[in-house]
Amino acid sequence: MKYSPKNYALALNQALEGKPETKKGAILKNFLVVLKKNGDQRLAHKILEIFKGLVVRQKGGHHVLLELARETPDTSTQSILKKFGEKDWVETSINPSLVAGIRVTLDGEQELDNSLAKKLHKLFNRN
Amino acid sequence: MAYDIIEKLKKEIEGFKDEAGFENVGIVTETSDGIARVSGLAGALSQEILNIETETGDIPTLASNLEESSIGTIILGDFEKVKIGHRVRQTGKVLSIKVSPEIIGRVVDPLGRPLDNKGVIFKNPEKAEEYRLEKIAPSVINRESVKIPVHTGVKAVDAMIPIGRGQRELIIGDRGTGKTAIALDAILNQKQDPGRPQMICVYVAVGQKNSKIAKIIKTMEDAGALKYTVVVSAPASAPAALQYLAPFAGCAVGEYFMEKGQDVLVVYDDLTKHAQSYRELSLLLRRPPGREAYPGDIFYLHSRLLERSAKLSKEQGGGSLTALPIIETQLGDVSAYIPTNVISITDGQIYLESSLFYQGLRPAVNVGLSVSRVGSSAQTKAMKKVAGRLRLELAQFRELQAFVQFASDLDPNTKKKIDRGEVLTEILKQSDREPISFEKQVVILYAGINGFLDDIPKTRVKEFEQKFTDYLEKMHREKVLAAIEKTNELNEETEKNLKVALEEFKKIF
Repeated sequence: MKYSPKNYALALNQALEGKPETKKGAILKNFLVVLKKNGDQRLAHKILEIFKGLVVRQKGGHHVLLELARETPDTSTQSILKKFGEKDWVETSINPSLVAGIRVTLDGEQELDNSLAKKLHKLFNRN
Repeated sequence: MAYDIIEKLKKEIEGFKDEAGFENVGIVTETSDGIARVSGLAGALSQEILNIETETGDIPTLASNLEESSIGTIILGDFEKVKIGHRVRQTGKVLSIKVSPEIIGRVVDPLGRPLDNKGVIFKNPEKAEEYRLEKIAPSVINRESVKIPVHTGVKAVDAMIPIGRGQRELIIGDRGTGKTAIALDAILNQKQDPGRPQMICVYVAVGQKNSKIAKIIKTMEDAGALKYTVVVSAPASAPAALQYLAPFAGCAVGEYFMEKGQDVLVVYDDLTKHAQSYRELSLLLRRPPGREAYPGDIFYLHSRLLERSAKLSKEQGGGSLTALPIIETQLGDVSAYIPTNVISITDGQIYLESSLFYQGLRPAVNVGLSVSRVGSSAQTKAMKKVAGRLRLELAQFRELQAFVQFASDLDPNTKKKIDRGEVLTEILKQSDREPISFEKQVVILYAGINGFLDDIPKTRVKEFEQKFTDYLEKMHREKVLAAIEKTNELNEETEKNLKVALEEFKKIF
């Protein structure tokens, strides 16, 4: 039987729920073995995305993707990260295609784009 | 000039304001063969246009499958430029095409972009109106029954399978049997039907060869038919998305003129390829396949399109939209899935048969299997007078023709009926791109059924027809042709004049 990424993510989340930190490693390892056995390794990325969503939703936070145009001093990054709460799952990445500035994506559905690339795109694609 | 351009650009850049704020966004998670799957955008509407932001600019995409965690979209541009990770934004617009009278005479794609190298379509874009491709058909209250004929210029059709304005008449047959030729004749004939309001024609080419479309446009241009025609083209080289949208775009163009109170003729050439393109998209969107791998809503696809053909009531402006959908059959199999669907939706069909075509009977209309369910109420009195008897004579001829193959001796009465049938069959033969005006059809059919051609050899029937109509045009225009044209009737006086003209002409023929 084929399982959807959502099914995998829900199962993993339920398996990890309430378990002590010491056992979580083994559960994750078993999960990867099951994934390999079912030949669904290619779904790993999708499962992870859904899993992140489930975890933050349970905590009542947001999945935040912070994209920066280039490497910035740790102090600057830290000051930005402080803006988010403990309930949020914050990821940072370097995205040179932004040219300059920063882009924040919330739960993969909403974004605050303050990059130069966006401004240029808006300028050149105005009707 | 260069200074002006730079100044204008400078002002635009200086005046550009962009305030960042939270916006809804989607992300392309999958893309293949004109389809993109988008995550996010939970508030997107069905049939909404979304913009995919690519490196080379925005590409529109049509939200089609609204699923629990993603949206299946049909890309309406260069799908090879779409990559995973591209941002997608809502536009709040549903798919529509800009229409104004300026579109007449133009060749456009289903999104309304010109394809004829004649420059921009709308010199006054503010006068153009946006017409939705998907629209609900006029309700029963806003309709009335068909009462004005659409003269196709094809004798067999106008006499025996009459079409009314607002009707949907299917043209069905194998490949190469003259389906497009009949539809094209109907378009060409609209310039020589002065007794009725001028029709606006829309020719929708779906999945046709580019060479064929070019030839059709050239024919229309040479005949002066492009002056009242719009061509919506989605050739075989166009993506399946455009082929799927083309009939809806053609219908939207037609609806614009219908709602302005005009009569419109829309030819969908052809709906078989339209169904195939929709099947392709549906399978790519992973919709469950049904019979012949078509999706479950294939019937609704065609019914909602053809239901938009209507004759509007006076209160609604009295316009009409007549549809001539074309279906291509395989080895004459009318019981296949798509043909039966469209036969049941339309108000009749013109069935073209390859065996008749190869026998030299062109147009190869099988009169027995062809039918028009509502057109007879729109037929003119003059045509009704001659066509009623024509059907009867031909039916008798066909019955006897089968009989003759077994019997060698025939009584004079049967022989006469067979001869008459042969003459009438000859009369109904007609070359393509030579539509005949309605009043000329009436006089030649009158001559045929009243025995004026019984003593003319079969080989000379065509010549008789040509010369007699020329003779009438020169000698009896007012008394016969103009009288029929004006009154739409073949009254006693006109009939008497016609008889005199026929007798006179036969003396010199």
